[in-house]
Amino acid sequence: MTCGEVQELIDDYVDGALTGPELHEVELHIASCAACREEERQLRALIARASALPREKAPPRDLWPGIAARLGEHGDARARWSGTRRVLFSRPMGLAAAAAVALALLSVLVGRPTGQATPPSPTGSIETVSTKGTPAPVLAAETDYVRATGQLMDALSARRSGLSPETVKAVDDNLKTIDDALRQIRVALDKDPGNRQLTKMLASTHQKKLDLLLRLLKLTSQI
Amino acid sequence: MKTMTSMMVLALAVAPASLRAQQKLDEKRSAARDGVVEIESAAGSIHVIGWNRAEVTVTGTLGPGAEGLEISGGSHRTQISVETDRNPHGVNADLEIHVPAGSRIEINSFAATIAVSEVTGAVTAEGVNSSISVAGGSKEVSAQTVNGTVDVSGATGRVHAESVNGAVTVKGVKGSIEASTTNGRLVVTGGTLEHVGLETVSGPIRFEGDLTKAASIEAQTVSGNVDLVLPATISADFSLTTFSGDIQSDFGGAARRPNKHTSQKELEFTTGDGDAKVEVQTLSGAIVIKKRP
Repeated sequence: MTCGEVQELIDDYVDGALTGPELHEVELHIASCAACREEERQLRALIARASALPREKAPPRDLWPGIAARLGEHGDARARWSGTRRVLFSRPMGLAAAAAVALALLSVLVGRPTGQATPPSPTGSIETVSTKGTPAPVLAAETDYVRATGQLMDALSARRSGLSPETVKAVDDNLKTIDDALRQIRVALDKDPGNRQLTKMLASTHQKKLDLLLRLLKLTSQI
Repeated sequence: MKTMTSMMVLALAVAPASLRAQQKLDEKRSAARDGVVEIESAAGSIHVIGWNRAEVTVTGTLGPGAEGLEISGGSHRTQISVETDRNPHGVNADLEIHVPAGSRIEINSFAATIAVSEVTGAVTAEGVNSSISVAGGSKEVSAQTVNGTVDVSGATGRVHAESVNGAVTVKGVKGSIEASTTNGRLVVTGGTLEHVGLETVSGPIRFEGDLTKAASIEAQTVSGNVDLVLPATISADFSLTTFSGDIQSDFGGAARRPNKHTSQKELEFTTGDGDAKVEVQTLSGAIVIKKRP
């Protein structure tokens, strides 16, 4: 079994869904291949992190359906690519890590304890979220967005080497543009808390950042 | 034969590197007039041209890093891919692909320049470091890139055009448009439109087209300016909102603050019977509505 074939099966392997000769072949390969062993280790670690997050019902906000749908699209893309055996681009990591990150993201969004509206630890490029006069539902939604984008930024950072320097610069410039815009909207919201149009603009700008990161993650997973 | 799978991999693996540096392509397959053609190539250029024949042809060259061309599938789904065993940077393949005009086209690339013309079926094109242009009467277009321009013209159905770091230009569409960019320029001109959704973060937005009677335009940007040039006779409800920008309208009315506690400015008015709906929101960008004679 080649590394590419193992990449196709590693999600099922980690999930314990492989049986018979496939399971045996994957185990043999992983035992003798440091790269695949490392990927298995990373995948298990990500899933463990996701599993450790609290699980409660999804927050009833507009944020969730869009993200869930996009995760669904991501899953479709994964199935499409893994369904073909053709090697278009070499894929050193396959899509397993991306799937695990999606799982972690899913867990973060589904599992945020209700009523918690504290600013998140900055894992992305967002430094903080405003709390001054911001209604709790808005703050909670923004907390979710920041956490989600932080997770995606972490996942993407592992794939940056697959992008050309000019693409990396373009992505960084645009993320900065989006973060600047988010700050401007927050300043306006501080002056006019509860303004529905500003809230809508804040959500759509966060969504734009999420879309960008999801798209990059999806496309770079094919490298 | 109902199901025919043909596969061909140009046997380049054993060829010396000097020969692999430039390989001419000249391939042909029969194809249904309304089938699917999937194209995958890492970098270089992809030019897809619709024609009136029931066949797919591939010409062009495989350059450095392109290990081979694979054509697979049957007449209702033709899959064309350039194989490479390395990172797409440094790979080059220039493909000219003729397809039956009614085909549905799906293109996936990392850094190829993508051009589609004279295809009337649906076109989906996606890239990272790619510029994408789709011209002709495609009934549905979805074009998305991260770093590059997107140009769509002459489509006759739904258009989804998106770039993160590049200008998006849509011309002469008859149908509906969803277009967005982060800091590029977003321009829609001509055509007859039922729904238009335009969104940027800092890039300017310009719309100059015709609308169906009950059409809707929604434009949103944080700091870009919005220019809408609309028919003087338009019948529409307008709702224009900005927080620190200015609002100007040839259709009259003056922006006002909804209350003294906000810097938000609004301008709402109706022309004619208010059939269409025009909604614009900015944070700091200016909104300018002009009449087109």
